[in-house]
Amino acid sequence: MDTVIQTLVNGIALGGTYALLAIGLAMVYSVMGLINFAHGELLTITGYALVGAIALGVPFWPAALVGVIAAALAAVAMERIALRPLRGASLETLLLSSFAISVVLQVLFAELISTRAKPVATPDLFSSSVSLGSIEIGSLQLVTIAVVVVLLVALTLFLRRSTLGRCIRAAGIDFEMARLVGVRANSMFVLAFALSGLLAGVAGVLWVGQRGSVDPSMGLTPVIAAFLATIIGGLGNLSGAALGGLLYGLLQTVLEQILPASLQPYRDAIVVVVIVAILLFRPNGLLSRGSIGRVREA
Amino acid sequence: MSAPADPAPLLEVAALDAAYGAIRALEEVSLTVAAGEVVALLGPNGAGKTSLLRAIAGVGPTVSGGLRLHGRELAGVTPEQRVRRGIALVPEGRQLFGSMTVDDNLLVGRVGAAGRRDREQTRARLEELRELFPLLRDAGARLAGSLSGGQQQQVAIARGLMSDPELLLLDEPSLGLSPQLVDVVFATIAALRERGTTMLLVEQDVAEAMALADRCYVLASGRVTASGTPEQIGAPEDLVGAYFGAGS
Repeated sequence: MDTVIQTLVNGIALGGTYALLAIGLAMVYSVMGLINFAHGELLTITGYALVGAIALGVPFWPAALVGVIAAALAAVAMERIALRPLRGASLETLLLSSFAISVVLQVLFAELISTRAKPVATPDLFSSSVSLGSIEIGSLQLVTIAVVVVLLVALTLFLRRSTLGRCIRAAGIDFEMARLVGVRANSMFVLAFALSGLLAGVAGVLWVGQRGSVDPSMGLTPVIAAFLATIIGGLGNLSGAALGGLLYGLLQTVLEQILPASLQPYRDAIVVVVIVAILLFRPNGLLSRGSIGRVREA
Repeated sequence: MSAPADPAPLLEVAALDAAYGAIRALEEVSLTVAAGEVVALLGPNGAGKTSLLRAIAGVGPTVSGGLRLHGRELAGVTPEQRVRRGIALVPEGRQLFGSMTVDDNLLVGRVGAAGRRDREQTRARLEELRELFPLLRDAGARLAGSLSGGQQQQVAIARGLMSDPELLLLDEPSLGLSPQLVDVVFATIAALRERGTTMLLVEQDVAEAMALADRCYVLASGRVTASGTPEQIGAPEDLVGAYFGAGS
């Protein structure tokens, strides 16, 4: 029983990190119709900003804030510099552009910083654990779950209760109609990217907390997981992205726990097979036909 | 001393051409709409009525020619800026944000209003519209997509009015509605007319459109073929006969 609870907590924590990334991807997809494959690099930017700030003597938590802000700014810069000039271009062009941004950033990280992993001194909190009866749960996992819950609640309130939130939902449902009622198109793009960057930044801090280091391609694995999570949940659907992220994380963790050592190398392949099975029954994802506007149905 | 009267019409369309790629939708279209007027655009399917409304709202085909509101050129002005200048389009098919509540649809409709940041003004506008459309009072928390066609049309018109527009563009408000609901929608438009709302109306029901309008323009194959008061245009049934007679 203890093992089951520990596995669930670990799975939810990992899935929560994926969910933050997946929601960012879904948000951009909802407004722009683009899966931003450079989203993973926002994690890396968070990591390097964190490393840089710590190297300058900034304590970990303020440095983490610097990392989150850096990710949000980088996301806005991606939209302004690389994607806005291509607005109206074909989906293929946008996809290739986001791939190009990803590759260029990875090369820049490798050339300008290092191909080697940079260690990050994380607070003791991240390596400690909490005893709940006979169960030992990692503090990082608990912090991750708490942060994810707070962010998801805050995001839901923002989208449901604020004018900007309503506008971004409206733009996600029907972009042209949103413009016809006065919603500023460019602002919605910027806002969607900024929010996706913010979420990626937080996910980045949590990811670095788990790894304890930063390297140029550290964003690749989580962004693939987040991409698959958005597919599981239904492209462009925020609630679906969150659900998909949680399921993906749980599935990975449970398989890690139950698979014999000889089958462990096949873990991710099995996860993908499960996703394919889900899509056979729900081709558009678990919460299909959605967009950002459907967040209220969460 | 009273302010001098504005010599320019509220909306002026002058020799407007519009095209979707190589396909011409509008050719040398000229019309005016004065403040407080209800102007109907009549014509067969494919005449260019919807294209004209969309061009005025800024989301239509590529245009050339004059398009002015209060004498100010609209060329290069984005759709969202046009809303801020006082144009609201209630499109064909309503296009409500179906997975948002009715109240949220209305509040999004407010973002283009000059008084959007004033909560009191927004509340007052909502109350005013709830008086005009009692449905809004009861259905505020319902998802817009769950309403009937006639109810959706009322919400769509109310959403358009939330921005306090000077010019309301109504595109086929009765399309797809049952006869009973059509009556409700026309009663709504008549009530707006009584309140002095300026409207440019595209409506397939020629008799109703002419009954509501101060003036009419008849379009065929993207050109204005006739204009004048409903009396000058003639009997609705003759006009409908002429559409088909023209074979357009």
